[in-house]
Amino acid sequence: MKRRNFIWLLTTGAAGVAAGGYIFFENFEVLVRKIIIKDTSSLSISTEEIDKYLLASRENKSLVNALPFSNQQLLKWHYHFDNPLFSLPYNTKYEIDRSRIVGNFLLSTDFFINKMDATTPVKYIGIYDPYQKPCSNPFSNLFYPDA
Amino acid sequence: MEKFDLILVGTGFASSFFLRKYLEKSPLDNRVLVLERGIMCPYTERLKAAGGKQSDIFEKRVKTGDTFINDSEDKVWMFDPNFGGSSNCWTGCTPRFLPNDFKIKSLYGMGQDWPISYDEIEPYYTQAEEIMMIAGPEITPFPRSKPYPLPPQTLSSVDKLLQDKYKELYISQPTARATVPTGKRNACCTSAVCGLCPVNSKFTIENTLDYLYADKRVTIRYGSQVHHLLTENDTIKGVAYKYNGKDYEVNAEIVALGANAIFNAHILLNSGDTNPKTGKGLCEQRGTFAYLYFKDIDNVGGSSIITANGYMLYDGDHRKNEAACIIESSNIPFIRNEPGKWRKIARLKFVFEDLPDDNNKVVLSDNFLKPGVQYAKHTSYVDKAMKNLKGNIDKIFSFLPVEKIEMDGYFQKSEYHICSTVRMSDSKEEGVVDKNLIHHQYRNLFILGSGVYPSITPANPTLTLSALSLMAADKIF
Ligand SMILES: Cc1cc2nc3c(=O)[nH]c(=O)nc-3n(C[C@H](O)[C@H](O)[C@H](O)COP(=O)(O)OP(=O)(O)OC[C@H]3O[C@@H](n4cnc5c(N)ncnc54)[C@H](O)[C@@H]3O)c2cc1C
Repeated sequence: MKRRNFIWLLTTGAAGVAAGGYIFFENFEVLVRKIIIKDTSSLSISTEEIDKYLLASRENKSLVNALPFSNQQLLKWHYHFDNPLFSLPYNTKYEIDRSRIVGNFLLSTDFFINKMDATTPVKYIGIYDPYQKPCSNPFSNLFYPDA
Repeated sequence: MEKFDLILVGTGFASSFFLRKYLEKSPLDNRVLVLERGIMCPYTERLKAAGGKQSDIFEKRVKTGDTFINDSEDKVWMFDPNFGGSSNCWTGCTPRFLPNDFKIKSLYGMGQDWPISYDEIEPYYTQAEEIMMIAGPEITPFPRSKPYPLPPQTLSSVDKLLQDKYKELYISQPTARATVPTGKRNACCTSAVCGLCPVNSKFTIENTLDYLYADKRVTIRYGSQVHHLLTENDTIKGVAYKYNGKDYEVNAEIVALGANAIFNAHILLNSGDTNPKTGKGLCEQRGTFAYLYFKDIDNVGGSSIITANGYMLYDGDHRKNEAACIIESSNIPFIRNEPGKWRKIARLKFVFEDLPDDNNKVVLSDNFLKPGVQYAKHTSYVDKAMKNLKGNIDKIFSFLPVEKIEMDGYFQKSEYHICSTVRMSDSKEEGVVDKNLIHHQYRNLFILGSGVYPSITPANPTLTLSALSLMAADKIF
């Protein structure tokens, strides 16, 4: 192997390892923040509201506890490799978990209670927890008696 | 040695429904001993723990994982080994079995027929539904002699379309989650965490049948693990149990085991039961999810955790080749991660029956107090049905404005329904107990619970096992 090729391979390999390491060790909360900001960008929502949610989640560990380590890794890798050309395996699982993250956040706001109105500013109201606040499933017949 | 008229092992559904009928029919001077391996961990303590608060009582519960040795990494067996058994953590789905479920061998050439018919168990279904105050619809795919005690759960917007199309094959799920306040229970308000209902709406032994254990004929001993039966020829003389690390023996005229399908089999094996079927046939359903993404319907307005049951893939000639399937429509607050389409989605679970297979079994282990649970695999009956599932889903739901359907192919590691380790049969060659749940050899021993199911059906088992307990006690006492 020529010296130049060797150096190129080594650099690419090292870059790969570094990127892989970054993804593997990336703080899960940082990733969740990115996902929430991106996926709710069409709503009237400020980053302060998102940060209030993240702070409360950190305090009661609800975020990390919501998804096992393997799912967290799956989310990280998919998120960073998201592209129109190819998708990594377990894409459905990824989509479901990503929906769960955004869902958990939105359930902790008044968005669903306001019947998903994209024009009303969204406010954080407290971590969604049926044991702290029973009867709060916003899709139920209590909220949609005439559905 | 102490002697009782009846020794009952366990305080779950199987035991409590048996005890309820027994006390109704037996003289006031009868004496019953109930042996419960776990503790009484009240609902209020469970709620405390669920809310993140410290509960010393909750911490003292017997933990499921400490009670048996699981040989399979891919299979999970779930139950609560404490007062009330898994009534503490069940979801409260209570469909009846269909009349044809009792004769799948004669109709479809698969599995084994039950030695009883739907008509025989029907009056006891009604009684069990009255005890649990089941909420259910007027029209059902199974015949009923009486209406359900409580009004049905409300269907979601999507469920309503499915019911319009499939009529009695798509119904509001019969449930032990009260739709209006009843007894000590509040009305369900769709918190959708039914394992421990935040408003105490679901039926539990504690909130409805606790009075049985306060009856003056009944003595209850907690922390008492029965490990074997005292036998003399073909008669059971009593039981041996461990309490606080010490061994005790106690005698009785009649013994009834309601310790669930794993432990009933284990106690029999520990006692030297030679029936070749004891412990064999351990079986559960298999369940997988599909997500339907809609163009323009919001899926809202439903009740509770599971609003509806679909029977479109349940009964019929397909059961000659592939497993029956029940559909569950869930109403947990899932969303679709697409602006403007947040709730244009349905989450459906497809639950398949399996056939008991002798290779899946409860066995003795090195530890006298712990059964070994060996689960090799589900049968190809399920796989065949699974293979056709995508096509069936396309067909069944094609009338709805479906944009796409997603299935992740994931099967839950447990359906939480442990069945068929001590099957019911006409003869001792085919099974362990007779149609009255009495052991073929030991004629003063009842074995209660879903362990006696010759076939498991795709439907949830607990209403049926409760009805069987009522029936057995009614027929014999
Ligand atoms: C998470 C979950 C959800 C479920 N949801 C549903 C549902 O929606 N619908 C449905 O139909 N079914 C459901 N089930 C299944 C249902 O809970 C069981 O079918 C039912 O509890 C079985 O009743 P049982 O009395 O036979 O056994 P258990 O409920 O397991 O009770 C057994 C009792 O025996 C005691 N015991 C065990 N061994 C001994 C011993 N050696 N000595 C003394 N005592 C002993 C236990 O402590 C317990 O009190 C669910 C189960 C789980 C775990």
